[in-house]
Amino acid sequence: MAGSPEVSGRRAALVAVAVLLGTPAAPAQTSGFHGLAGAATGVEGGNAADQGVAYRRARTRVMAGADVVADESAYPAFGLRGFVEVEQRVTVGIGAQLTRWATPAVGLYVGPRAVLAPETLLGAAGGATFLLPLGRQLFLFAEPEVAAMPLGSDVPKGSVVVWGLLSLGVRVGI
Amino acid sequence: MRATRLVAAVLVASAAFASGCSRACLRNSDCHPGEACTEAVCLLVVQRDGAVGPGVDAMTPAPVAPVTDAGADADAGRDAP
Repeated sequence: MAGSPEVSGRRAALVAVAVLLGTPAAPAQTSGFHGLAGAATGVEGGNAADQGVAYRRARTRVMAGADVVADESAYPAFGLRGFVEVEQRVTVGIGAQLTRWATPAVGLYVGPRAVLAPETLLGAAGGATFLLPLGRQLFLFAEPEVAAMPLGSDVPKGSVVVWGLLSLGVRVGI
Repeated sequence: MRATRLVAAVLVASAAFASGCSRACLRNSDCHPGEACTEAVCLLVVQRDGAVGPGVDAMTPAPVAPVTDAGADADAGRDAP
């Protein structure tokens, strides 16, 4: 009975499921630092008074940053970001974020965002991080994000600058 | 005929764009220096020197000797016999 083809098939299926569930892909489960670099663009919006809300393509930006990654995905990871908007006017900004890894490859984050020069913006952002492993310590990442920037000298009176951005880039375990 | 209208439309659009009077914006940094983004349009910011009323600016000389009613009355009394 134990050697019947039916039982062997079930054992093989169970082993396959166990292997898949136990696969240590684990970008978020590797302790240490992850450095990242990429580019982002998307949609930028703001109040247009009587005209309602106006939208346009957001300024393209290049960004770099680092995340402190905990051993266990249950712990949130802390990250820093720096970015430079390179279209039209060049601006420099920074951000921080707290990421909660839902799975080894998917994290959700929130954090403050600020543009420092030449004008200022201050607000908060939330988004998700998706990782695609290319190697043991090398990943492609995609970060869709929404941000609201109500404060700063770059905000027109009575308006709030909003961003819907998609960042794409490379992430490396250090 | 259609080409002429198209060229005219392009010229009008170019002139409107070059004039900057309807330059769209979402952030103040979308505008040129000296402009501010107001209701999604860049508008020239006029710096006033705090004076109220037209025709008075920093180059307007101040009155040398202000004349008051009291001073006028005193002068009138001194001239009286």
